[in-house]
Amino acid sequence: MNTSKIIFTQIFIIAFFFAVHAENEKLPTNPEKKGLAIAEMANKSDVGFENFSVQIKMILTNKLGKQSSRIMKTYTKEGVDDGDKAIIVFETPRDVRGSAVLTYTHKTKSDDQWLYLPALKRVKRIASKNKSGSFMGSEFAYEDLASQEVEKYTYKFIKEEKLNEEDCYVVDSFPVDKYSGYTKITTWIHKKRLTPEKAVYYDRKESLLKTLKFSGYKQFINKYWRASEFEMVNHQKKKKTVLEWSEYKFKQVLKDNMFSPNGMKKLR
Amino acid sequence: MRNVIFIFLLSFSALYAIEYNAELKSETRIFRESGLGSEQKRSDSAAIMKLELYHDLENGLDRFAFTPFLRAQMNDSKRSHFDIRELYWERVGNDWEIKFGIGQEYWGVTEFVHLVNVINQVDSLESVDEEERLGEFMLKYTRLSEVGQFDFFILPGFRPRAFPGIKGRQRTPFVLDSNDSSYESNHEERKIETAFRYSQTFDNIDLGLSLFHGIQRDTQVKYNTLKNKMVPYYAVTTQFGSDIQIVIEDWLLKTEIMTRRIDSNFHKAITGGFEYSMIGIFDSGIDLGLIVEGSWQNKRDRYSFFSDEIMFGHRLAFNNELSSDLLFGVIYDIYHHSSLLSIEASSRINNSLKINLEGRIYQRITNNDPLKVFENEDHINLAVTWYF
Repeated sequence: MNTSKIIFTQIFIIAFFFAVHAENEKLPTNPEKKGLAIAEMANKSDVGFENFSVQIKMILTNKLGKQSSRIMKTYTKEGVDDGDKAIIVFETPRDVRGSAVLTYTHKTKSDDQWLYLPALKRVKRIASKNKSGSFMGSEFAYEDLASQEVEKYTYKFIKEEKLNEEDCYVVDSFPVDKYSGYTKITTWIHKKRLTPEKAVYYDRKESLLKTLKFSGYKQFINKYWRASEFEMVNHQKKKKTVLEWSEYKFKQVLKDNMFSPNGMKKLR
Repeated sequence: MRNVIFIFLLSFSALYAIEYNAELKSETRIFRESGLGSEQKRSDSAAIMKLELYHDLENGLDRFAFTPFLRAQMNDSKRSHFDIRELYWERVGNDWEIKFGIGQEYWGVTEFVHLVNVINQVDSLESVDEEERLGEFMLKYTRLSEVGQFDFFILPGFRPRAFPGIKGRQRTPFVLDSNDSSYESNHEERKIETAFRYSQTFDNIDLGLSLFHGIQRDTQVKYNTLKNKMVPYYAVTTQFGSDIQIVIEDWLLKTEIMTRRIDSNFHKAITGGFEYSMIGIFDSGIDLGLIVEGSWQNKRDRYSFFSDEIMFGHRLAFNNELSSDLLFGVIYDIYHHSSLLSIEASSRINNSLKINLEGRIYQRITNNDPLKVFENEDHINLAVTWYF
């Protein structure tokens, strides 16, 4: 390696350090404002992905340790002025194969949701104000899987803390939606990647409900960080669900009409 | 030469990578009482098979699909039947779609009575609740735009309903034969039908408007002097339909309206109601769905079992690994005061097996009620389906 390259690399590292440092310096001191600023920063770091699809394997473990699994595929389209649009298509269990759920996330009003039933060739609207219900019998609620828009919560910065040797911000978020199943979510956010590392959920009675751990982060097209494993433990029910995300594909050419009640019928 | 064939076969299967879904169902039905005649038995069983084959071309535009369906009934040979649910080619562009062949098309929003769902004929051998439909030959063109979706249909062949045979349960006292079907149209069942539908979502409102000109899907029963028996009859009709659905928080408000000109009379019908969902009742993981709908029509047919009625449905979803759920339904006839109770439980056994148990009870049936023929038809039905 020649000298100039080393110098260049060092300058780059120093510049990067200052950039991150400067970003932190800019954060407000008021805990509510700082919490919001971190959420906005994390959101901004993910802007521009356009769309991505991913294969999901869901492994459910009940109280007795018995496991069952299901496989699905999701497509997400980035929202520009409003929230993201997403489709989940089920592959197994075989009896629900081809069924699909389409969600339009909205920043301020409640989301729109549709369900496609392939046996009847029917698209059914879902009154989805309340999204605290279990997703496919798992420990994930619909609201955990919905796109996390900044506007859906208020925030409070708690502290900085090391988690698994990594520097993290610890931020509490409080759902704005009164129909949410939670009163508070405490999230550990990786300081450099700005990705969630761990989230602890508190139910409507403010008691500890669930813990979600994110792992196996990989970076796509030099920008977008995505986890490959999500482990949700329900402390009250003593049950666990693991999601394994694989085959991420970004910026595909997708038809305009795909993310619509008519378009979802054509996915398999 | 053998190599050539081998290479040909290999490339053929690679080129035409056909995907499939298959289900095989065994069904056992036990009736509480004897039926109308001595030919009918107190129990019956059947095997049902549905295969879905499809292939998407590499260009991402074209799809070919083939869905054959077969029922083999033990006691009533008339209920054994084969149908092609789908056999079509479809091309999907960015703002247009075209479909040619046998297809399935679902219109409407309500759960019990389907007034606007007119494209596919009811497969009356499958169930009495009109949920299963026969394949319909169609040429369909769809235009998608900012202002909504426009669907145009040409339907070149009408399919009359089929009926259970003399040994079949849940039938009229006289046995109807679809081969006796008579028509108003001079072209009989070969009359070319046309249909149009406009649909759009306005924020929390879903709207559908439809127009159909062709042969009525429901059967009229007439006496044929020549044959000296009751025969199915189908008139030509022009039907206008509209379906509206409004979402307000946990509520879905729905209505379907149908008006048609038939045998020089105007026939009007409306159905509608609400669906309400409660997530996690009594602090459990169980969800409860509640449906209340009513239906009314200005024409009362002697042989239509239900006309003016109120319907209640409850669905309990247990949200467990087996996706178990429990459905409870009541259909109450306002005019005759009779009712149909149904209870249905279903659960997965493993990743590819599902079990379904259903019971139906007909209650308070008086002598002048069209449902009179179903008086002794209380039954339970056990179905096990294997998906592969």
